Amino acid sequence: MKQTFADLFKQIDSKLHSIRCLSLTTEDGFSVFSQTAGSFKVEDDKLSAVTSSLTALGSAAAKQLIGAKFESTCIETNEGLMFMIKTKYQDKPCVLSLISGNDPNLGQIRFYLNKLAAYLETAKLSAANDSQPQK
Amino acid sequence: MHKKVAFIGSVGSGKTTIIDNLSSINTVNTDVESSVDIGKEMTTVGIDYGHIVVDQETTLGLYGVPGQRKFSFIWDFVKDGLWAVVILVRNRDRESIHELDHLLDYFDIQQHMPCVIGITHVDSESGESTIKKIKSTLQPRGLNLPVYTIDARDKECANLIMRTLIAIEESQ
Repeated sequence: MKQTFADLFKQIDSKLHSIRCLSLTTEDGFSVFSQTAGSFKVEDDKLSAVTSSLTALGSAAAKQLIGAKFESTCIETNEGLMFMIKTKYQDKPCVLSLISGNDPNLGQIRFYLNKLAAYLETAKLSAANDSQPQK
Repeated sequence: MHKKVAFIGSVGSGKTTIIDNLSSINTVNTDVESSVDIGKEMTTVGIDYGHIVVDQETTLGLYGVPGQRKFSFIWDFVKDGLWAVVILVRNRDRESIHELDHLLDYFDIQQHMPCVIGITHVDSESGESTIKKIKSTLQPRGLNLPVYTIDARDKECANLIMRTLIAIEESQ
């Protein structure tokens, strides 16, 4: 049986604990997969557009100010963080994003999201359970 | 004084191109590869930014926003404190003309503010019917804005737009 995005959500949640959302979006802002936990709600379209824009702005800043290649960007809040990283899925440029719980560990999030981003570049996931909340 | 000019309009209407053409600095560009067929390879998902020095006292910041409505949160960044607005409409494109109506509302375009409409992609077909449709969109709103057919790739066309905005302000 093929792996689903929900399976990946469960796996990463078991490592990071209490993540609220994991999402894969095309670079131009279309949702591919999205998974939320419990009562956490986020509009797919809005999440996709925001991650796409922030990643593009991060890329522009990396290139034009640092002269380097963009890898990831992070928004820290008083209730957790949102981490975005570039990846590919089925040869299409995408953005993988994660919204953490209240007590995030940025180092761990970066490590596991990097691993997941690398995995997605060659993965072919089943479409089942797309955009469904986890119980 | 730094003045903000917004370039708005539907997808593929030439906003990135005209800003590239006008800017005296290398523009900040947030184009990415489009994953759906929108009639072009790249699309803007963040903000395009360019800059013009008019004289010792005045600089213009050129802000291009994504055409797709789902990126309207970016429109909100740009909307505040605008000095002028340039609206680009694709020639003979029903969606682009329809979008004009939405943009006039969203950016609260009023007769007193410098605003110009440019019709792009007029290479092979006349822009007359598009001009008529635009005028019929503007008329019920009591707007009488300059409407030009332009080539966004042509520096002279781009300069004409900017000169018109300055002339509108000077005439008030």
